[in-house]
Amino acid sequence: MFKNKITLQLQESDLTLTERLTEAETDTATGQLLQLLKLEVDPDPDFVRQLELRLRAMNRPQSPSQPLLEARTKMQLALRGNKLRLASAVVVVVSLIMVGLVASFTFFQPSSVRAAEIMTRAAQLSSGSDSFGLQSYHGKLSESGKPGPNELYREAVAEVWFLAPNSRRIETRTTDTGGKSVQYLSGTNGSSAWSYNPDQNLYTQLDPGAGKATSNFLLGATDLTTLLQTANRYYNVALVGSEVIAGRPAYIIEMTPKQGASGSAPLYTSSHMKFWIDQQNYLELGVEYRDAQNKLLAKMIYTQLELNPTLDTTLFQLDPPKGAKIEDERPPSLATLDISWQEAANQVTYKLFRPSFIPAGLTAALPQFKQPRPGVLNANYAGTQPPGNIYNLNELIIMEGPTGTWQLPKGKGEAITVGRYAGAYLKEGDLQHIFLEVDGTAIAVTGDAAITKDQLIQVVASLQPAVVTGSFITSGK
Amino acid sequence: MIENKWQFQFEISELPATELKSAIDNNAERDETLAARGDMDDFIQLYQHHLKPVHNYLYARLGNRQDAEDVTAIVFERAWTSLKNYKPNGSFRGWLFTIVHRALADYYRQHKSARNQLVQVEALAETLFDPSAGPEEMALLSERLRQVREAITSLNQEQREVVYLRFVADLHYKEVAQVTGKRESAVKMIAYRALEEIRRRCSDVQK
Repeated sequence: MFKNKITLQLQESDLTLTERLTEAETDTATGQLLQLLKLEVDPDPDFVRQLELRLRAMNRPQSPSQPLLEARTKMQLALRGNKLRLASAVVVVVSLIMVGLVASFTFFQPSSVRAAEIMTRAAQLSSGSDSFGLQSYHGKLSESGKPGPNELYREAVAEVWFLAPNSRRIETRTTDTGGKSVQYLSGTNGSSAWSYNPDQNLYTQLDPGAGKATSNFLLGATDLTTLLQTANRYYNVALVGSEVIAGRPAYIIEMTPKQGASGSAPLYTSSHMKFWIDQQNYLELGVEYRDAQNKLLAKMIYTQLELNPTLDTTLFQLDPPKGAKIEDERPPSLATLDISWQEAANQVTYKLFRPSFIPAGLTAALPQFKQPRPGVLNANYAGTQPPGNIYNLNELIIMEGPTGTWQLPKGKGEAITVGRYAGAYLKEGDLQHIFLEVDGTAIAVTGDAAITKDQLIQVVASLQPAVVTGSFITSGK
Repeated sequence: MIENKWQFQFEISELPATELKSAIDNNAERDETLAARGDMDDFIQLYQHHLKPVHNYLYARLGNRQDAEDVTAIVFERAWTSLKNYKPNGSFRGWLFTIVHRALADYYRQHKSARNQLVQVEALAETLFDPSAGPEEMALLSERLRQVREAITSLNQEQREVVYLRFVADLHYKEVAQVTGKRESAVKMIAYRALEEIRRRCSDVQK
């Protein structure tokens, strides 16, 4: 439409590259195809609003606790079947947590037996296998750092209450760029967990199992033993001195990457880490992370600490404040799942199939019909992240639609038979898929590297009509 | 509240060439002014102006809304934190898509996900589904989509990148050059060859 027809009549040799390009762009057939490339897919209005809020929130320095909170929230989102939204701050902080976890268990170094012993005891306190006389504490924590090159320097003060075995409350205060004080709250009593953002009057119900509260939480808490071998390969640990922190005598432990380890080690192995550990009860009194250039990434250290105070259990609960927007990030109950599958089955014209076997460790999210394919069911099952890998979730996705919804790419895949149904198995990169059609329903089952081919076949073999009443097994063991 | 950029671009494309250039320049000037001021309210305006092309480009590349939203969020968060480094020696849109380009590369590197590639074409088809269209229109659309699918998959990675930036993100060739780090003439040559390939394949199909 921008081109004069006279140009088109010129000999090709007379045309400049720009003109030839314009001609190619405006060629009718090509032009129509190019129009198809312009996907007029409006961004989801909720997403637009949420992202704007997130961006506006970046206008003020966040407390280091807030990214930790966000990280936990994102983990729970992942459990619901969504992918992690890899906000850079979250990535950095989660990475630091992982590194901290890895580093904290590097205790088989012959040159650092004493340090290893201290860290082992800190780990015992963290896991709850030994309390070392510590039943509760209440303290104030100073937080500071610049977690990444594109992050703002952050300062905050957090007040922490802990009551064994796994009740914890954290209130973080910081200031925005305008000097206004802002606050974030989170807590758990082991059976329920929540967070509250007074600024936004946003109350979130969290999964208490996803971020189990322990006394030693600065380094994070998860299945630490699985990290041991990785940590052992990449870090040296050393006891370098002692210091009084918040009135408590503390060991100073330093973690440094082994020579030659950086580059091949997972995630920020260049970071140097320092830990202050209480000499009597092995509580983490402080942690510090520095990058390879010795720049401070994050430091959290207690400034006040009271050991074994009497704490009221109501401290660890918070009902949604009046008028608060409530978000529920908890995984659905079995009953809710049953109802959702039934409802989903009623919404489609094809038969819906639900698996009775799911590999152990995966948690089901509610089945959903998502844009841009509103007629296709998505059932997501997610597990915890493999150690040292913040990107690859342990994840399984089942998608169902009417016959013809998917076609196996030509020349790809391996023919397989599952029960009386013929299908195809396809492995691409870290992912593997099984495609098949069952009674007019096209089914695609995708698993990541953490799921074996046999498990994927087992999932497919266990598919049953979703409308059958009765209890389904949703977590195959 | 949010300016419909597509509609805006359609409107300016109807203008005479001189006015068209002026409108584009004004658009770029507006972006530069907002970026230079650099406060959050200005940035939110930029976000509102550019969200849709960024989102749609990522949607086209990644093939599903969830991933497109994830990377879109990363792009605008990085853009905000890097805004102080923006220098108006190229267009803001080009600068922004440089961030898009890197975020996408990071995404591919981190996920190495073949699943997205697998569903991309399907998502494309579903995206273009118009519920109001009749069976004949749907069949025609389906055929054309098949052509798009084949044509795009026949391109090499470099060509595909340029085609997406030019025709989905609607960048000017100068901006595509800015994003890809190539000379404008090189980008035009890549685009020309890509379009010729698309045209050739389409005409083969019609025969």
